[in-house]
Amino acid sequence: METRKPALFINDTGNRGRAQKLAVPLLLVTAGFALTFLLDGYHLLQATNIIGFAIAILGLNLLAGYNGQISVGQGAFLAMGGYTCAILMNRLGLPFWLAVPAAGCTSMLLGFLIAIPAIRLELLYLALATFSLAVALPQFAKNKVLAPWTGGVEGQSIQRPQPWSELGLNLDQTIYLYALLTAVVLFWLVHNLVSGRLGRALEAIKDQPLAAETMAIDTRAYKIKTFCASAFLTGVGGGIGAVATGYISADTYTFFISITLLIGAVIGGFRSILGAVFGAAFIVLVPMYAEKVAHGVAWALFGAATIAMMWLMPDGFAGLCTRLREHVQRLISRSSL
Amino acid sequence: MESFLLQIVSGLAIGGVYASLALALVMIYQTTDLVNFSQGELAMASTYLAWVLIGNGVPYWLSFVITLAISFAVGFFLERVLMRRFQKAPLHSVLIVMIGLMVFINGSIGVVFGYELKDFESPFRWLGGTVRGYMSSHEAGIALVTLTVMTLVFCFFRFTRVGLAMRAAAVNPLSASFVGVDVSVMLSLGWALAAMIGAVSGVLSAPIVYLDPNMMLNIIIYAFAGALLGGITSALGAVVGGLLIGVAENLAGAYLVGTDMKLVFILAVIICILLIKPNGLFGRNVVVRV
Repeated sequence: METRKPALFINDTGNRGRAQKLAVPLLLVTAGFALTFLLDGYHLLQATNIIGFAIAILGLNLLAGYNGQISVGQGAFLAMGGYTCAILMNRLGLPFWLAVPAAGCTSMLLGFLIAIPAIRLELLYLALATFSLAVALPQFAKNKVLAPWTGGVEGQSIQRPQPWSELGLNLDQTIYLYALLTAVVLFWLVHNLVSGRLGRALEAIKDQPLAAETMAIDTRAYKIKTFCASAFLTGVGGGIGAVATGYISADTYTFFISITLLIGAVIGGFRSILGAVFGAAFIVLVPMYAEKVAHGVAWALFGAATIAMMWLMPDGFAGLCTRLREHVQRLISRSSL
Repeated sequence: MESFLLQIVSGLAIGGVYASLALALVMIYQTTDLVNFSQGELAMASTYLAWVLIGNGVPYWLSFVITLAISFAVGFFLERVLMRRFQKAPLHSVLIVMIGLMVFINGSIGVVFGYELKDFESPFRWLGGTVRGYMSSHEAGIALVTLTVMTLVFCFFRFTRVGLAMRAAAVNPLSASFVGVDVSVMLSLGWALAAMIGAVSGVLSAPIVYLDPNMMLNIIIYAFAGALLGGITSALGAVVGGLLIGVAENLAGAYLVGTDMKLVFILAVIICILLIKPNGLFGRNVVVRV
């Protein structure tokens, strides 16, 4: 657990500290917007996928990093989001920009239903239950009863949405830009959420559950709320992924997708918001190149990276950045003395 | 009625596989308070080893013994070299390392051997086609081997000095070290034995589910369910739970949900156990001092 500097010191840096804090996110967002016009269709699709995964991982970070509940079955929410999008767009003809938030909402509902039993479970049991959920998930999607909705074994393609041609964008650019805007809003919301009262309450529950309870923090309610928020985010991520790819099936949401999300969160750093972006880039880009070598290489790399990460820098990539920055700052302050 | 009995008998046989893997899970739980998520993949890797040996003309039972010995050594060194570093880490970090290990083994085996299904010969053809019409010869063989392994494990823990020392190290490491037990070696031995018992389950299930890097994915879920049902703290419970899950799975597949929803059924079983009786059938109440 990192120690926070007392407020006094933060005030000392004044506006400069604030500008510094904003620099990285602003840079990312600007670069993100620029990419809309720089990348071709295929690469833009990958970029959209990265954003979708980043939002999904953000949900996992909220759950695991800030509330200490490990979910190995986050793919369930991704699937819920994806199928909701597919059904709403194919059956009801909803535009994609309405279907994606709706996907978040149905996911949140599922999250609420799962949370009621899940919050009673301790770390290991929650991991076991969600692990089983991840393995059983494709059987739900292939089930004959649900097949009219899910498309069963064959899956279903999703109607291509209308591009925002008034803005001079083609379809790939439209979806990408929409994903980017959604991500900016959600990341900003989550940042505010965890740096306020709620975030402190969550960390108290994670680190000192008993003390938190005696301080009149309603552990149960907070855990359920976090579960719902996490499910919402991952559902939105799943929706974006489904819209971008234009096709989903039971094989989209295998056990491996749940584990991949978890690995992305570990690589980026559980306790970091921007880490989610890095983790998402890792899990999308590494397979793209590694699977060209041989099937399975990406998976082996994922495993090795996860173990190495926990061994060498348990705070993930984001933790490494923080440490580097502190190191540089120390050097600067020493040389200015 | 006939087919009902048939389902139960063949459930008990496959339950033997789940029971041995569940036993492996419980052994590591005793010392780490965690279920080893990579246990199934370790077993899968052992099975590939056996497959390579047999493919190179080594007689089946010799390959079996060599595989167990190497699995034992790998388990031992895995604890020494890797898990030891995370002894003081928070539980969720260890959990993630285990998942990382699982992914790593799965991917590496996939790279080396490919993902296509491979036939794995059953060594029990000599038992004849079916035993009294109820079970296939391989199922009878599974029952035989798992029964033998369970008995050996039981005798090891009950009647040998090392077994006693291992139990002591698991129950109370501090006191155990005061009376001269080398707790750190006992921890490694626990992993070694677990890897070995897991290897048995892998080699026995390969003729049924075929050999491929994902072969243990479903089996480990059944083993989880078995370990939970028996009470995750109890070795006997793991065995009974594994057998029960095998029967329940078979019956549910035949009469209740159909074979394509077996995993969903097991998921429901796991959730029910966790909510209704988290200590399982034989588990002791875990009391945490505040």
